[in-house]
Amino acid sequence: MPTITLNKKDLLKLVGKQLNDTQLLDRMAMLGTDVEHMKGNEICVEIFPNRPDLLSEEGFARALSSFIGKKTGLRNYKVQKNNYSYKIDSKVKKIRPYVGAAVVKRVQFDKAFYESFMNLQEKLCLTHGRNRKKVAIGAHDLDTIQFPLTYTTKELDYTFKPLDMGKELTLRQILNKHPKGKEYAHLLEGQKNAPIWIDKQKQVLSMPPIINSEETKITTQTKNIFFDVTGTDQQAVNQALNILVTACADRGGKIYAVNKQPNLQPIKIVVKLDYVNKLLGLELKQKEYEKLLAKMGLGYQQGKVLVPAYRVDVLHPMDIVEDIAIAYGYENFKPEIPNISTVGEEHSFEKFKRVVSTTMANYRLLETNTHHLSNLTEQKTNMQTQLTPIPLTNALNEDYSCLRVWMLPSLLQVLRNNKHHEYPQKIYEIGTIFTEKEEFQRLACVLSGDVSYTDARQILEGLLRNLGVEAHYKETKHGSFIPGRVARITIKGKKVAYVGELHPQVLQANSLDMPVSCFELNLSVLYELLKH
Amino acid sequence: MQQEVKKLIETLHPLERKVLPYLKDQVTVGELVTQSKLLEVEVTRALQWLGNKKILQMEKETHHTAELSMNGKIYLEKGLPERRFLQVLEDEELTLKEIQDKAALDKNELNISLGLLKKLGAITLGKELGITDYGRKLITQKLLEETFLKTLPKALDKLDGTERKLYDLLAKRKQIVETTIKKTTTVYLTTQGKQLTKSQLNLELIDTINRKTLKEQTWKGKTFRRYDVEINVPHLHGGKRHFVNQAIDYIKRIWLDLGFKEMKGPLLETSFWNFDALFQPQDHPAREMHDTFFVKGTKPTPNKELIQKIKKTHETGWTTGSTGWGYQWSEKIAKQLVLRTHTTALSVRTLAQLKQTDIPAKYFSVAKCFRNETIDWKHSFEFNQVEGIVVDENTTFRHLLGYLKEYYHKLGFDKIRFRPAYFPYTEMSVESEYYNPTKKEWVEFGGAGMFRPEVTKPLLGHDTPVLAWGQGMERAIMDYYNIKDLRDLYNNDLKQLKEIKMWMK
Repeated sequence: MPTITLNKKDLLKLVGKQLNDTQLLDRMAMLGTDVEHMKGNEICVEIFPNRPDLLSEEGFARALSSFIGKKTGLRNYKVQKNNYSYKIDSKVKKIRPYVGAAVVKRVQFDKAFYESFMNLQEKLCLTHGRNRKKVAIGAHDLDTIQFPLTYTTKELDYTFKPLDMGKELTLRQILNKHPKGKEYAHLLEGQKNAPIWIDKQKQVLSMPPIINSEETKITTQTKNIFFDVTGTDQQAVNQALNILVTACADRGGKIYAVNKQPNLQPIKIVVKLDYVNKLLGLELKQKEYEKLLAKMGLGYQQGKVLVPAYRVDVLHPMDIVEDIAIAYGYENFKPEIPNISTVGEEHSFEKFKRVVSTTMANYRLLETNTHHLSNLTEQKTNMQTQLTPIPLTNALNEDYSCLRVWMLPSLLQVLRNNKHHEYPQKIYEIGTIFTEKEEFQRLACVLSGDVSYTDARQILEGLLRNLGVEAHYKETKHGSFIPGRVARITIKGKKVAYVGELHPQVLQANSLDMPVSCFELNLSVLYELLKH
Repeated sequence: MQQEVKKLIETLHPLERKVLPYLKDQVTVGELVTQSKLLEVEVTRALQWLGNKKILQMEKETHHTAELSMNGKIYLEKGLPERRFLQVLEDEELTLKEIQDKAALDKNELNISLGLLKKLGAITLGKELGITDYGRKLITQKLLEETFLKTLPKALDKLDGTERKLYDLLAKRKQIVETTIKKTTTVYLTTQGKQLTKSQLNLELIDTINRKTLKEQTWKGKTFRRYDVEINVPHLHGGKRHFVNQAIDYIKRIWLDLGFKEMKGPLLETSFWNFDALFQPQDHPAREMHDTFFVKGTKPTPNKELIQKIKKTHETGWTTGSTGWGYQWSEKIAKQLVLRTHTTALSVRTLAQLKQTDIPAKYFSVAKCFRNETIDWKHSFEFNQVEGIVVDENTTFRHLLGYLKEYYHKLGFDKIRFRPAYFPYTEMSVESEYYNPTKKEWVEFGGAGMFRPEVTKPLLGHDTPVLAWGQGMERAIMDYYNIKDLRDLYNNDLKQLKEIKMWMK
């Protein structure tokens, strides 16, 4: 989840009320953010992906200010009309079709605002914009641009002066050489043309979603801003634009329309009070309800809740119910165990498993708890078998790169790690193994020290006898075991287990220097047999 | 006093009785072994017991002795290499090679001798080497080293200044001298011990009782040998279930007692159940490679009707009253196999099978999940989740908090708080936390919430409220076992498994 670092002083100034650290931490947590740490003037917060409007000091302060009752209710953002306009060339449709644009004037950057302005764009593109794939943002100094603008495409040998390079480059050179070009080139992969914003004088503004032009760039001196937002999803594009312009407006900027964008009209949604009360287990009155809505920056008008245009998380009336719960305060709910009468029941296989496990412990064995992830060397090579475990497509590292196909290798690893402890070592485990088609629960038992075939066989037989099962033991061949010292066990004609002494070569491959006698029993199959 | 000595005598083990007569005021263990004709281990044991009874005291001493080493013994017979070097020069001048052959020196010996004799001024150098007058004088005398070697072995701390210097010089050369370390134990009787040896020890005591003793009643009228019942005895380890599994059994019992049925399902899961049925958009960051383990292959997908419902819900909200995510849902992505990242996959599978008549329903599971995370003290790529769902027309958010509070109370955590959180499939979403008094901070236990209608309606056919939680289990049991690092729960150290206390809640 994205973390952002907020400037505490700046935040509190925007909130309009001084809170001490304890109050601030508590209110931030109860508003629904996860504070990682607070150090000096820095507050490091995890922002949930449904609330990109909280990714900057402005948005966070807005929410916090309502929540603590300083400035509640729906905030109105006025969009002034003007003649700013742009055209969309149909050529962009196949590459990056959706566009949003707006102008914000009378911006007064100070250090804190400038930093938060830059960070917000970056975090929005990263999270809400899925690292620029879904949404990318360009911000420009309005005074370097002449309207009308065009959003079009250009061939890759077209040139302009990108940010931070000091000279003109072709679009192809930008994709191949510019640091940002290389980082995001995959988003235009296979395209012969790249999207370009261009003004009346053929001045390039940006090459979305890669880079902006040096000529139109924002500095701390910039007073008026033009935003271009492009993407693959119109709604996501609009939402990003709304979050940007409202943040600037909270700092005193004036919003102007470009092609009737942005649309900052609140969304209206019907959320009945009964519905709220039923789900939350509360008995709120209408007045309290409206007051709680106001605490979350929401409005209320003629039976409808007004949701501000920067909120992107409201998909369903249920989302408003949660806002009410947050405003009410999670700490103020009285937990209650309801009178819902149902009968508890343990899963029958789990019961069976517990009987098996207890029986094994009674044979003075220790139960282990190993990983389901393993590797080919342990599962196959070291065991001299042809078993093929299922590989992970994105393994963390070589040691844990496949799903185990049997249990014994996991237990041999335990022996390997415990060579410094006293012998005999007698362990068992019940675990899941994975084959191409199915998952099985298996019981493995490993004895090491002064042990032979008989020792493992006695335990297996004892267990099966306790379960009331008649088993047949037949000599078999198995690459991991000494020939003539391994048996296959069948019950009612079904193969359920192997028992035997491991071959010295297998012991050596596993770096073990004591004999091992062991068995592995398929509990899933046994359980099915016992059920009938 | 007499009474106490008598009692003491009654406690003596036969071995102690055998050793005692040989205990004079002061005797070494070695002497005792010879005199008593017992095995050394028997003597040591008897002495240890007697020591415990304050009958004797033992004093351990370490002796460092300077001794001749392998070459040292040879040189003592044949003469030191430098002497042999000089001797062959007595009659003629020789080249180094000739000296080496005639004096039968190895390369190392030759070089050392050469250096030494040069320093002493005993030889003349040149293509051929010769002997000086002083050299000739040396042949007739004993070398200091030779005299010293003859005095060995000798206690290291008894060497005088010159001897010590010679020893150090020789110790630098190859295997001439060495120090051996010997430990001796001397036994002294205490006052009580001295008194005891004066007494009659040969009481007829009943030692171990056997069938014969009982049958023939030979114990009658005799005294039983007293045991030292306060002494430590060797540890005895039984078999044991893994301590995490013991805790899991308890947690399961909590939910069973509250009337929950247990769910069970596959670890290898389709994205459909792990993500899509939970209304997680297909481009949601949580699905990305760094969080989820993916596996190649296919598994049966649910019926077409359900797939269509999920598709429409994602795209437009279907009939759930939601706007949906507004993107094109892909069945292919839903078919990708993953190791389940949460047991919530199990909950939605269960919901999909519930009939109207099964409601109200309460289900739980305590089971393994997987996250593609680097291992550290609080993260592992495998962990257990405590999952639960409650399906009931009248259930509320307060009930959710009620169940969680009760659960943590039964685990011994009373300072719990709930704070707002976010999961794509719940609304309200809750993070439960407990207050760690040593760290003075709130520690996360896990997520919970009420399933969104976008989750419940496609699965159930109606939007009956469903409470749901998936709480991390490991962190909640580590305190009990006094374990600080998650990895110590699963490192399968057999000593730890033997010695760790049982789960006793």
